[in-house]
Amino acid sequence: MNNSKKIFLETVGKEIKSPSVRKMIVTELEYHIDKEKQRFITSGMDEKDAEEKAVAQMGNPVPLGKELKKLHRPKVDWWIAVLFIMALCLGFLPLMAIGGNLGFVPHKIIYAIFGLVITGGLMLFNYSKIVKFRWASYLGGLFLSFLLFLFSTAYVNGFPYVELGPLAFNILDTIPFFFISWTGFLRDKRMNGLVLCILYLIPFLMFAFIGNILAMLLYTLILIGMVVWADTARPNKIYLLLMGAVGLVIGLATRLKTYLPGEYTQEKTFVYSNIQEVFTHANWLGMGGDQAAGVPEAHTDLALVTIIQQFGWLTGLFTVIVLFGLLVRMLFIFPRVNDPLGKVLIGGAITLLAFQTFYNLGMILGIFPLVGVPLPFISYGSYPIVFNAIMLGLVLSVYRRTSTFHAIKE
Amino acid sequence: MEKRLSKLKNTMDKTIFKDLDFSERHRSAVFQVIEKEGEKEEDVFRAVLQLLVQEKTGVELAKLLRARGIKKFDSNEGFLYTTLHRLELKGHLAANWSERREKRYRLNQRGKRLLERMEKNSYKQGDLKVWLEVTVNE
Repeated sequence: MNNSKKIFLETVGKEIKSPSVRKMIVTELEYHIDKEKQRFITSGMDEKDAEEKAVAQMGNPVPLGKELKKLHRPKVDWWIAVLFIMALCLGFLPLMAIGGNLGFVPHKIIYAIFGLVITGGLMLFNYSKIVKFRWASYLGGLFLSFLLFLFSTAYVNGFPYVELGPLAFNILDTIPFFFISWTGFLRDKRMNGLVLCILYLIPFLMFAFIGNILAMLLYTLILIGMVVWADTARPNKIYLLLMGAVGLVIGLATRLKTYLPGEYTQEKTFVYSNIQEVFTHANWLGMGGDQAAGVPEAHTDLALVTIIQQFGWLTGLFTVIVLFGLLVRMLFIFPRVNDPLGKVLIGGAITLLAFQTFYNLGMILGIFPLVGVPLPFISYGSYPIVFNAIMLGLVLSVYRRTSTFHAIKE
Repeated sequence: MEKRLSKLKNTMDKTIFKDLDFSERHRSAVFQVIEKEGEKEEDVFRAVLQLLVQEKTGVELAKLLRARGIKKFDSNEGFLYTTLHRLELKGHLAANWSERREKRYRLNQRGKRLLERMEKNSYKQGDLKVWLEVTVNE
């Protein structure tokens, strides 16, 4: 009895590989046929004719299936992929400038490969499953911070590090864990405002206790960037945003207080005058300026200054354009994503990448205090690569699945 | 001459065109295509956008398009869904599944702005391109 409908739906469905997408399309078309069939039956047709007419009305299933297949094919955002690889390559420039005698290059190669694997792996991963890991990754983040606190093998700039072979972990590496857990918490309908606020405060106070204001700021910003787009109940949203705003003010106030005119002024003027000197001597395409006027943190926080010094303004400008390109592309993708979870992920990623990029530029231009915000992908270290690779991987995963959002959940 | 031609026609009908059957269905299909050609693409586009200001399923949209005398999707209603899915992927429509397994579509902010431009007749060249891309392969 159900023959013509069945054949129609099978013919369309045959073309579509992904089971979840197939199910979504078949359900929608079946609904349409059933509704039309009902209409024909009420207008006095018998059931068989009604169904045949309803199916015939849908048109030819073969081109329809082909067209839907083309439409819902998983996509790779090549803009982000290419810009990401370009940024990774540009990250080697500061190391070339300061000489490879410190073993930075092998480490950087490992970080870069690690970053590529993370981004590629996350792109293939179905981001909606991330929600399941909310508690695991929250506890993982807390565990990692205790590990750092108790068993740190080294201290860099007063912050604990744990070194495992070529990988060095510091407190900032715990933030991706909290980022992942918040994507889940914000979707959890059972969470009430108080629990959410406590969940926010625990890592925040821990960062404050360890004394890493940068971690406090980043953690708070990421949360704000996510909460705005989440489909959480409005009161919970307001509580969290208020908490975030307070956290931001506290973080910024503490940071700026440290840099009020006083003990650090001399160091600060020294760094800025060095940067000034580099800028006045830099050429448009200057290869190998003299090392004499080097800046501190030449391969990490001030990596861009080193690039400008050694390879000229144009190379520096190109680096900035690549990073801005990543941001612009994410802003382009953002309105095309309907899934609240996808919006939350991209919102968080944009906030973080933008914060790091603009803060680093501001530091170099002397607008913001020098507080050690690395330039994404360019600055040396595991954090600038791994952290941002996770973000890009998730954005690519969301883009890849823009069409599967409405797949029906089992 | 006349005679020879009609003879030819008769022989052709008996031989080559013997199995060819031009039924009423074919006839109406041809007429449908002719009628569809008379429709202006931007009118169809505007109608789709206007109808989606309020949330609707594909079935409801098809019905209301018929009521407006738009024939583009007649006997081709499956392609209404490729159009809807494309508009959704391009970020002009928001969609959600209701409890009763029906998918409902509605214009989002971007879609509303597009409709405004279409209604003021001040649409940019890119706007119509969206529609042509969305309904390509008809």
